[in-house]
Amino acid sequence: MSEAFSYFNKNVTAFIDGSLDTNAEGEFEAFLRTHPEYLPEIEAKQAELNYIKSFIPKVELDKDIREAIASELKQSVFLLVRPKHATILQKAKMKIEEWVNS
Amino acid sequence: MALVGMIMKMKRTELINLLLPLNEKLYQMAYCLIPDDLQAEQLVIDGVNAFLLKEAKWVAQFTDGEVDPKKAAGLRRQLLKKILRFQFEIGQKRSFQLIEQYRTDIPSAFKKFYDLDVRVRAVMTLRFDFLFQTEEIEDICQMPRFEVIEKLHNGRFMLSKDLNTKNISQESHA
Repeated sequence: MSEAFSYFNKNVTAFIDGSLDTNAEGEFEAFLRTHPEYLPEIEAKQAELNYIKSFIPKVELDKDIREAIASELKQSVFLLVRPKHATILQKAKMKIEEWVNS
Repeated sequence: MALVGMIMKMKRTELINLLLPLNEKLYQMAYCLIPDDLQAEQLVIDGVNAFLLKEAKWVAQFTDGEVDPKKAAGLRRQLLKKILRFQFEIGQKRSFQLIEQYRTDIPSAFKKFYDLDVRVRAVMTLRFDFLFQTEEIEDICQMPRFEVIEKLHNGRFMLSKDLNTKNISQESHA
């Protein structure tokens, strides 16, 4: 296996789905400019990836569900996140915090 | 103004402010594990509760000291990964029990996805929707690297096998 082929294979998926960091992405683009023979494969992989992504459901968070989750999560945080040995002042602050966020 | 300032400094409010924008992603992942609105909602809440209980030491930074605002983006990403880990742990067990119940209601466009094993669905969602790196998926799903790669490979193969058939049939019709 050539060095160029192994470099291409190692980076192609991350390049297509946009998860390479900026430097690695720049390097890969420079590689493609000097190795145009890989461009058809990039197009084929892009088509495959789009096809795969089309099967993963995209859910829109309904307003009611969003509000219900937000309210439950606030309650959970106030109930479960407490300092072990709270002073009276801390307890008072926490009460105000809960009241303000309710 | 003094009251507003005091409230802004409240640690648990900071945690809530980090947490709430993650709801979309948490719900998306939950729905990929269990295709039902109510079950997905419950899974988000249970995942967060499990995280708050089991990661108490990490969470303590929101009650013990100041949180540097510059670190908010990094903290939010850590928070997402940590919650996803608990959500996946709970969701995969629940999916084994519930998926058959919801199978008939799954829209036809997504049937193929929900035919995949729940662990494959999780890995595929984390990689192709959330764009997590393999190492991050290892951590979230508590799987060794070879298993993550195997599941990605299986998922890609199962979902894209029709693509090749489609291309061949399109070419032969051309």
